[in-house]
Amino acid sequence: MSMTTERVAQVMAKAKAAAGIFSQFDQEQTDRIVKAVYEAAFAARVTLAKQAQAETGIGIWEHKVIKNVLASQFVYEDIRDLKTVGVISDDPRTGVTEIAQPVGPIFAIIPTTNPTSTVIFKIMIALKARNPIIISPHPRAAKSSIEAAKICYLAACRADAPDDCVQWAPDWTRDEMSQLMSHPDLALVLATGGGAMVKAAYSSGKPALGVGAGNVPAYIEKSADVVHAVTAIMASKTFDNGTVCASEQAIIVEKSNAAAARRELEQQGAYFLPPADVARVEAVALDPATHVMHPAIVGKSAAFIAELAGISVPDGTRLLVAPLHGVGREHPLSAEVLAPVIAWYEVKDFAAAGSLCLELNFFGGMGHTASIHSNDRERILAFATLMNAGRVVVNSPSSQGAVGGICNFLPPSFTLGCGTGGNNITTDNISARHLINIQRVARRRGNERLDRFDMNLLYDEKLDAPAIARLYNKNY
Amino acid sequence: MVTITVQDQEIICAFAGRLDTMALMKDEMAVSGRLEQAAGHRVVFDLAGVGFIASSFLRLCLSTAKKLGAGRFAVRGASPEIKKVFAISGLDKQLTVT
Repeated sequence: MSMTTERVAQVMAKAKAAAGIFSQFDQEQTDRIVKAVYEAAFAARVTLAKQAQAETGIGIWEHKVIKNVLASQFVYEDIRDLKTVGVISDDPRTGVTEIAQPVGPIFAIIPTTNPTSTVIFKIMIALKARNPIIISPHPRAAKSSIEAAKICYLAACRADAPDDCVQWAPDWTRDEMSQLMSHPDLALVLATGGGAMVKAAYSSGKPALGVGAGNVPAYIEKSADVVHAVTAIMASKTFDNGTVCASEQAIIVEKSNAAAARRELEQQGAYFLPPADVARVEAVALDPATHVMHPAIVGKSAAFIAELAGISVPDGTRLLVAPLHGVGREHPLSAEVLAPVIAWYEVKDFAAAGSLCLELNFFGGMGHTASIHSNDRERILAFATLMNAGRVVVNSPSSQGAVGGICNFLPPSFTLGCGTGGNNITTDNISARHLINIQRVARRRGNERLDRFDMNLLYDEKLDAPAIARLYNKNY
Repeated sequence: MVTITVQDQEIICAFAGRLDTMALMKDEMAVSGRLEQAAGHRVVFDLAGVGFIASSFLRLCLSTAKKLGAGRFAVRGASPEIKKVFAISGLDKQLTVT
């Protein structure tokens, strides 16, 4: 056995032991642990935010505080009363009783963009479901992710959680990660991160809850309150310098509203790039060979990106706006950029807006999130039906809206399922409810129609489906 | 509270109640002391009176088995719920649990 395998074996043995001990815990004990983790993580929200920003150079620490609050307080409030142990529902009429069981050891991949909040979130939901969790930090954010994990683990232990219910290592090799993800005793991979990592999780042969890439269109429909819409977009796209995968990537506005929207954007700190500068920003924002955003600009400020691109922008610029006339590889900024850079399209009407949003949605953002600002209920529904998006956020900042719990009642989450469009199993905001196995105790109940139906009729080929259905449902 | 008796060639450590970390600290000292004089004996942890075990008890089982050799150590009288702990942790394959 190689040294690598030895370390993986030890981690898994400890995780299995923790899972065994956890199986004895009742709801009250479990909830006490989750509460302790929430309180400890909340208390450390500022320290962890500063540490994450300092270590990665990504985002804004004040905004990372909000992310840590979402991951601790908001997630706690969402799952506090959720039944995750023993009988969780009982229906005397159907005779079906549901019993929650833990899934088992979870391997959690943590992204560099949210290195402490995602750790807090995943530990909270794993422990709520009585599952041990193994944290795999991003190499560029290992210190802050591990600090967050330690804080959570120590709090859990003080509340009598099983030893080793949270484990981590700063330096998993790719080979070790692969071994862990495919280990026979691992139950599930919670994969939040880049496409390659999520694909590796899905290739492990283990169940995986992953995420997809986003490319969020924000459509300002003609009935929208333009000032309200622009304020929401600015609050979202500049939040933590645009690191949220549900942040807006393009503004689509009808010509009738375009001037007002542009004026309001400029008033709020957006800078519209002249065509020559669009090309310069493209050159630093995306790798021309892979068409993937360049890590050097992820989570950086508009001023930093402008300087990197060699362009001058007014003081106080918070967002770079790139007017574009198409979608696809020939228009690099029509792709996802996790930074305060956003595409701008003017369209003539609702139909043209729908077509364009669909193109953007299908250009690397299938299944993720779409955003609309409108006061026309029918158009909101028409737009939502058109999009392939797990979340269609209405009249809200898309980042804060999609992650839930802030300006709507979606479950707060740092793992946003993108459905089959994003190669995921669900479009849900992942939470503790996804980390339990639900057993169903199905008691015998009579089926009146079947009891009095002559089963021999099924052998008569002359009887077609409607004829059988008539007889089966007679007097019912 | 653990009660330790010797029957034939077996040292029987009969545990009772809830074996959480705090409770086990005292028991562990008593068991360790007795194991020093266990030469030639088989050691049995009797869990008939136990409703809960903590991680530290699993460690005590593993360290005892390591010290004596797996053939001279067994866990007996575990409730189905406690057996499930050994099954989930995979220790039922390393230890004799009945």
